This record gives sequence, structure tokens and C-alpha cells, in this order.
Amino acid sequence: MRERTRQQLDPASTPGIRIVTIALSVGAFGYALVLTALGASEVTNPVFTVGALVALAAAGGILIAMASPYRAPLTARTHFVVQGLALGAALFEALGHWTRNEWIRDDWGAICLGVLLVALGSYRPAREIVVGTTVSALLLGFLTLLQAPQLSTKAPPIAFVIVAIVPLLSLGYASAVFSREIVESTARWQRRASEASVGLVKELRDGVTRSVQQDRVTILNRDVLPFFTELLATGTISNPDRARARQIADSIRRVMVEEVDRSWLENVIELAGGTGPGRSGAAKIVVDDEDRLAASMAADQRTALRALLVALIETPNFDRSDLRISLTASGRQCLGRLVANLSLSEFLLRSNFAPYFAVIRSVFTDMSIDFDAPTLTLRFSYEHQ
Amino acid sequence: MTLGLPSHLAPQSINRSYAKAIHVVGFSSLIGSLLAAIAFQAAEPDDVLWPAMIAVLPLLALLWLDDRRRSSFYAASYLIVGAACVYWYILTFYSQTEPIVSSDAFSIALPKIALVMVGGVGRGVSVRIAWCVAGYAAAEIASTLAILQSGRHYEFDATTLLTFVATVAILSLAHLSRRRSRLSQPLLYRAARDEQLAAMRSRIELKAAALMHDTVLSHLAAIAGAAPGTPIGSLRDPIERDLQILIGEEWLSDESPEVDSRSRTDWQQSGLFSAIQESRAMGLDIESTGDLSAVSRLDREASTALGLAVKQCLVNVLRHSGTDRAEVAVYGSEAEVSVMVIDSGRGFSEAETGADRLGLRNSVRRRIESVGGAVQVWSTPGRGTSIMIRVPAVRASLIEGGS
Repeated sequence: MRERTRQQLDPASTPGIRIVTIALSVGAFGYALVLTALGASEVTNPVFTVGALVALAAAGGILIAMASPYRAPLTARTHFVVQGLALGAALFEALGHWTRNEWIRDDWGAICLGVLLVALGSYRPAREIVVGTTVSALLLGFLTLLQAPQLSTKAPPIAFVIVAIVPLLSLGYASAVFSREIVESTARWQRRASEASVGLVKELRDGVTRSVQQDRVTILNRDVLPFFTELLATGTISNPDRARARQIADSIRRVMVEEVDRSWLENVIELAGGTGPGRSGAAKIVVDDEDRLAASMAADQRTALRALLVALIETPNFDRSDLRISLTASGRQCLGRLVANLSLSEFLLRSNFAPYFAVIRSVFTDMSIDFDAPTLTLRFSYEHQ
Repeated sequence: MTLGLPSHLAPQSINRSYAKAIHVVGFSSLIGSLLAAIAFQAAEPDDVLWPAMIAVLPLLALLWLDDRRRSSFYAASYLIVGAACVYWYILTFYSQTEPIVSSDAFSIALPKIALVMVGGVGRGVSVRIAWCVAGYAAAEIASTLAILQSGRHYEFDATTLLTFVATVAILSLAHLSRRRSRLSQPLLYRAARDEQLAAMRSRIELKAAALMHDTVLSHLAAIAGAAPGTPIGSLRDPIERDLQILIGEEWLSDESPEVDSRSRTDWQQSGLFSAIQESRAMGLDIESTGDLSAVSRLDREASTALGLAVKQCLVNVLRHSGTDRAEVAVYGSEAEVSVMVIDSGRGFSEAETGADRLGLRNSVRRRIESVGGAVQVWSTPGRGTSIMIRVPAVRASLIEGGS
């Protein structure tokens, strides 16, 4: 079941989003580090202060790791762990300067949690972020109330609570609103795009029908039509007629078996292998699909694989003489393996192809990539339809 | 589909999402500043803080308008009127007998942060950042004037500056990060469209192949199997009909099942009925059993596919089984209609069916699969063959709605 998150509705964009996630996590940690150094004189319990920084670093580290397109999708569990660690960091921070905290405004716990919530906006649904934000704000608000008597300035405790939780609430709710808006606009666009493409396919249907029929009529005109016409004229079946009927039937059957046996995958390769600027002739690509498993891929899976194949074949450094795709059955699962040769650095491969990998990952049950230059091995699996 | 936003539309909708998110920060800050004023007032009843509370209200109203209308006019009004309100708010706090500022500067920063979050209109990250800069400048000018006016000591406000810098940094990063996925989008969309076209083509080809198999190939086989000198007789009509159909165009029309699902077929008009009748005419002794009326729960497309598939099974019995007896049993459930074609002929093993596998695969299996059904074959050499064909039925509610 696909969740309504940006990462899952628009997987091609997530490799890019991860940069923002990294920046936010590192930024939050840097902010905590600087404020801890500036407020060193207030520290009463250094173990907790260090623990707070460790917990925050762990929260950010887990978030960065799980935001990888190769580990998509980021789950509610990751959100829970990240938020739990960040809340723990805020608690430890408060314990670290317990009894000597002078200012609420230079406490970093709530703000850093808010920044991590902003990072989560691209991966988790709005409702989940709202709940996380609200629960955290209540807890941190209470924690601030407990500290109010020890603060150096006189002000109503509620003012300190406001100072403490407004940044968290505004960042968390902003993240939730962003998540909702981006999901809605993506879903809206997808609806429109699929309507438009159904329309386009309908428009092209007549042309395709004519071309399919033309193929048939060519065979019929050459052999069957004259034979039947002749036979209807003579009215009886002779021995040569029988032989000819068998021979025509055999040749038609051969063509049909060939057509029926060819999968969409082989058609893609054949079409993509055409000549173009800077490349010549068909690609020597081997599709090894004894059990005809390509046929049981869903449309989304075919689309993702088709896009990757076309992108691979159009890459200048791609070795066209060596691409193998094999599909084998293992119980209800079909295991796919694609091996290609690309003289690219790993960095370039990962950055250029990340969106395709992300899309493939989002539509197949399992996907792994192994790049041992120049050999790229992509493994994926899917269920029989 | 899982392809997300196309590159040329993404900036627009992402910009809108950013603007909405930024405005949430603005709203939260304004509500926070209002609550802070109320809290300080409650704690110090002698202070006069109500003007600060009132100052927040126009800010809230204009931010709401800016969020809804998304026009430069409202964004600019928010900045200009908002700057005056920020001046008013801060002056109120600074004018108290014992300045509240020193207690926590952050509550003073809140309305200023709200001004930075103007969001603004226009495409592109630079426009958005320009609005942020304008918001920050307006907030700083207003607060500096207010502090000078109050005659108090000026203290630099690092909180608002930090918020401003962070906002600009996030906007720029998010913009840069989108560049990469932009390159892959056109290819992904092309692939999706090609996929739809390929699926349509293969559907039409399947129809064409199955039809070709049932008509031309079947008659060629009949001719090849006839004794020499046999008059063409009963084959004349079907052959003439084939030629008409195959050269005409309507046989390939790719009708959408939604339209057809309304028109049900009755037993006498069903494809299964004519398949049995035609096979009987070819000399097969067929016993039909079970709930024959169940086929009326099929839509026209499924009924036609079922009839043609059963016909092919019966033709196979005639040609390959060595017997001239077959049983066709029909079972109906709410969800599907099952037809079993049983003969006690010589049977076959899957491995030896290479030469004629096209009939079973194409005319039976694929045709049934194309209407959402399934085919199972049980056969042992020497002990006959059973073929089970299952086709989904139209739901009862749909039938009532359509009739």
C-alpha cells in the first residue's frame, strides 16, 4: 500500500530531496554544537549535555541514512525513532544545565527537533507530522514550565513556554502543510496526466489498428486470398490443395508463434536499439526470459524498466555490446537481473541514474544495485500477476 | 503511475507548497507574539500592553489575505502595513516602566520573523528570496526605529537574522536539489506513454492473432485434413465469411469494456452456445451440463471470449484427442463463471505440444486472460484432458443498474 507522501508519489524527485535532508540534519547539529559551546558556563551535568549532542547526532544520522533512495520508502518507524531521539536530546539538554539555565531562547532542543521535522516533510504524511509536532510541543512545554523558576529573568512562565515551543510548532506545522500541499498537487497532476494520456492513446488507436491490420492483410493477400479464391472457384479439394493448405498454415503459424513469443521487453530493446546521432544499429542486448515472465510485470514496472533501458542505451559511455537481462521464477516471485557495462565513475552513475533507480525501487518489491566499475548489476523482484 | 510532477510543472506547485509552509511559520509566530503580549499583561497588570495585542491583528489579517490571494499587492501590503504594526508592537514593549525586552528578546522577535515569512509571489527561487530580504529589511527598520524612539539601549536581534538566513538557505538548497530529477523526467514520461501504446498494440495484435487462428488457420487445417476430391461444400460459406471479416476493419476495434459490461448476453445468444452448436455441426458429441444460465452474468466481451476459447478447446478435442465425445460443464458463482471442457481422449503432456501450442496458448489462454479470466489444464497422456476456464462475472448491482 502506497502512502500519500512526496517520496512515494514522486520517487524520481527523492534523490534530490536528500541533499536538503542532509543539510537540515547537519545544520541542526551544528546549531546545537555552537549553542552548547556558547552556553558552556551554564552546564551543571556534562554527561547529559554530551548525551544530548550524541542523541541529536544519532537522530540526524538515522534520518540521513534512511532518506537514501536505496532504502526508500522512509517509514513511520523511522520517523518515530528520529523524533524520539531528538526529544531525548531536548530532555538531556535541559538536564545538562538543570538549575543553572539562564535563557530559554538559547536552548536548542526544540528548534533542532523542529528542523528535523521540516526534513521529514518530504517523506511522511501531514497527519503524522502534526501528531508528532503536537505531542513534542506539549512535552517540551511542560519541561519548560519546570525550568521557569530557575531562569534568570522575571517573566510569566507561560511566556517562556511560548518562547520554547513556538519555533517547534511553526516548523512542525509548516512541514505538515508542505507535505500536504506537495502531495495534493502531485496527485492532482497525476490525475490530469493520466486522463491526457488515455486521450492520446485513444487518438492513436485507429492508426495502430490500421497498422496491425495491414500486417495481417499483407500475409493474407500474398498466400491465403489467392488460394481461397482459387479453391472456391474449383469447388473441390485436390491433393496439391491439401499440401498447399498445410504449407500456408505452417508459415502463418510460424510467424504468429514468433510474434506471440516476443515480449514487450524484447520490443523495447528492438525499438531503443535503432540508429541515432552518434550510434549505429541495433544494440546487442540479450534478454533471457525462458518462462516468459516479462509478461507478468505490471504497467508501472514496465514503465520504470523501460525508462531505465532507454536512459542506459542513450548514455554515451554505455557499452552497447554487453547488456544482459534475465528473468527467472522462484515460487511466486520473479527475479530480474540486469547487467550492463558503463564506463562511468560510481558518483556519476549514482547521480545520473538515481531518479530511475528510485522509481524502479518504488514499483518493484525488492531492488539492489551493485556497481563494480564498469559492471552495473541491478537486481529486482516482483510477483507473478 | 508513480512518476510525480513533470519538470515544467514542478516549480510552480513546489513554489506554492513552499509559500504555504512559510506562511504557517508566519501565522505561528504572530499567534505566539499575541499570546506573549497577553501573558506579560496578565503577569504585570500595571503595564499597558493592549496596543501590542491590537498591533498583531492587522498582521494576521493581511497574512491571511496574502496566503489566500497570492498577489504582489497583498504581499506588499503585508510588508508595508506589517512594518508599521511591528514598530507599534515593539514600541509598546519598550515603553513600559521596566522594559520587558531584557526578559526575553525572543517574544519581540516573533512579529519580525512573521514579516520575513511574507512568502510573496512569482516563480523562481530568486523572486522568493527577494521577498524574504524585503521582509527582513522592513522588520529591522521598523524595530530599530521603535527602539530609537523609545530611547532605550539598542540590542542587535540575532534570532531574526538567524531565521532569515536559515529560510534563504533552505529555499536555495531545495531549488538546487531539484535540478537532477529534472533531467530524468522527460524520459520517464516518454516511457509511460510508450508503455500505454505498446499495451494497446499488443491487445490489438492479440485479437488479430486469435481471430486469424480461429478463422483462416482453422479452415486451412480443415482443407489439409479433407480427403482428396472432397467437394468444398460446407466450407464455402465460412471461408467466404472469413474473407469478408478479415478484409473489413471492424474486427479489430478495441472496444472499451466499460461500455460492454452493461450489455449482457443470454444463453441462446451466448458465445458458449454457438461454440457448442458449431462443434456439434463438426461432428462432436457434446454433453452440456450444469448451470447454463450462468453465462448470462457475463458481459458481451467476456462471453465472446469464452465462446471462442471453448470452441478452440472443442476443436482440439476433435483434432487431437482421438475421441468424438466431450463434456462441457458450466458452474456459476457470484464472482465468476467457470466452464470445464472434459474429454477422455488420449491426452497430452505439456512438453510435447510444441507444434500446436499456439491454439491453446493464444486462442484459449491469452484470450481468457485478456478479459481477466484464468485457464487451467490437466492432462495425462492416455487419460484424457480437462480444461477449466474461469471468467469474472459482472456484479449483480451492475446488471440491475444497466438493465
